[in-house]
Amino acid sequence: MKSLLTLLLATTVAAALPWTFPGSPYLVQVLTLSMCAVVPAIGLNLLFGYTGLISLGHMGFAGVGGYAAAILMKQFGWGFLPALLAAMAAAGGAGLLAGSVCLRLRSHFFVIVTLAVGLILGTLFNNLDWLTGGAEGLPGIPRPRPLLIGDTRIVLANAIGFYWVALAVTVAAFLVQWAVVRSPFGRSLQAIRQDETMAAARGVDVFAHKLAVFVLSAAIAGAGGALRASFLRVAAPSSFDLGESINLVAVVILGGAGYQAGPLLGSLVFVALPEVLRVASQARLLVFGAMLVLLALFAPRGLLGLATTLRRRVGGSHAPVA
Amino acid sequence: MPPLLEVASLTRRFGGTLALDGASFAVPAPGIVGLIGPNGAGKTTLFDIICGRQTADSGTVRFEGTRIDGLAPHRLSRLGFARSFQECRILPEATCLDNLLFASQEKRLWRELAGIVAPPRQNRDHARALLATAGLERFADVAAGELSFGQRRLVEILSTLMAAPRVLLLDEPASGVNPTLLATLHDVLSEAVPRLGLLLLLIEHNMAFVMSLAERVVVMHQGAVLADGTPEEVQQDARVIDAYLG
Repeated sequence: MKSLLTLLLATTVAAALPWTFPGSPYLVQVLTLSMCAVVPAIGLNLLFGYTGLISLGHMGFAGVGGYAAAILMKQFGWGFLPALLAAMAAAGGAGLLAGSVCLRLRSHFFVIVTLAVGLILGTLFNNLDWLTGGAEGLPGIPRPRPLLIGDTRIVLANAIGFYWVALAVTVAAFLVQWAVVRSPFGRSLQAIRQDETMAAARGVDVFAHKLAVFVLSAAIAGAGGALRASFLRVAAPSSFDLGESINLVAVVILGGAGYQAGPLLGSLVFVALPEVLRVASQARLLVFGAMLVLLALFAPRGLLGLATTLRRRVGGSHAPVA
Repeated sequence: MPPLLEVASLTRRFGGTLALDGASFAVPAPGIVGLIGPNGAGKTTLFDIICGRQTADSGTVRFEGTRIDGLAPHRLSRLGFARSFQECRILPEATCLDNLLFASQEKRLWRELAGIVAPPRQNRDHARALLATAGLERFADVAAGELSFGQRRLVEILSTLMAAPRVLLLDEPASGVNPTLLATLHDVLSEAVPRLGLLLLLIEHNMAFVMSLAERVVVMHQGAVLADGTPEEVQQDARVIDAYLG
């Protein structure tokens, strides 16, 4: 309940940001861009942070969602919400197909095959011109239609309106993550990560659980892809390529894999910070790279892992007895 | 009436090594059965095959007359099998209480997925009571990985008991456990086995521990059953003395 109240408070503060900083449209844009990364990162966090399965091609599933939403909104005139749900279904279906194959392999073999899945999806995005528009992508994706509540008409197509849409999708993804992590399913996933052999001996059908979380993770990534495509108003291969998949892994690791707030913190640092450092032009990449190296050296469990360690040191920890 | 557990002519080869060479024995009813023998006798391989972690090259395992060899570990767990491991496997990041609650939770996938929307009630009181039987109640909310080895071993065994198994296989539970905790473990097992009406198969090198607990002892040597009888009988068996007890 405490975590839900924290989420409610954080959502309220985040929703009020455009009014708190009315003269900062750039801030709103950067935060929206960050949230487009947060959503797929939440999907990957469930897979990697909680289950211990690292996927190097996860933005491929975001791409499936992004293109599905783009086609449905642009060519069939669907609204944003049904297109988002369809994007999740499409990405989840792709996850089911890919997971059925990849999850039969373990450790680094699994990682390499996920990399291949990402590359295959990227190649399809680039070459299925009749469907995806090829290298040019699908431009001109409409923004969400206005929301009517009684007589009140809330415009969602402008920067602030879309910021709220992105916030709503992010909060929904957070709630899914929160509910999964505290559920028996989440406990089984965490048991698989900590000791797969022991989990199986305790009754967990390891393959079925991994497949279920893979599908869920891909579906959430698909929602992120739909959000990004709608925000940028274009679904392009470069938004969902291998580099973006690696960035997504970096976001999860940076924030703290296996922490619910990890994807949020990781996205803010990974996406927003380079934007803030943009004033330093070329040097910003050096600064950012150095920060990543330092974090990898001194905070292998990410920023939230570092914070937890520091809090334990300050507060003291339970020492083994007997 | 078929035996509760029956192992017949189990054979398992690892390359040129014959780990199990036609091992056979049957246990008719619940109780405590010790499984002893020198290192390399095939005890853990036998456990692994009974629990589905490995498959046998030949031979069968039957539970109440039904063949169970080749079933996956999670299916055997759902039939009522639970086990501990030589290397002590727990959830180190989870609290002791959560280790026990995880062991007893429903693990069918569709029910777990339903639990995302409507979390099931957890028997926290029973888990705390079980921890109390081993004097670990004060560590209920401590990460299990922070405990000493002996305490972690107790958490592992309590977790297996929390699932109320019908067949419990413990692989060297006394290994690395200090005498005080060993006495606690002895008390926990001797109380739980009759209460739960379970069959406890116990691999152990600590002869005092296994002989004081077990009603029957099976001795393995070079992948086969060398002797089978009461603790007194096997301790006086010349073949057992020669091969193992010395």
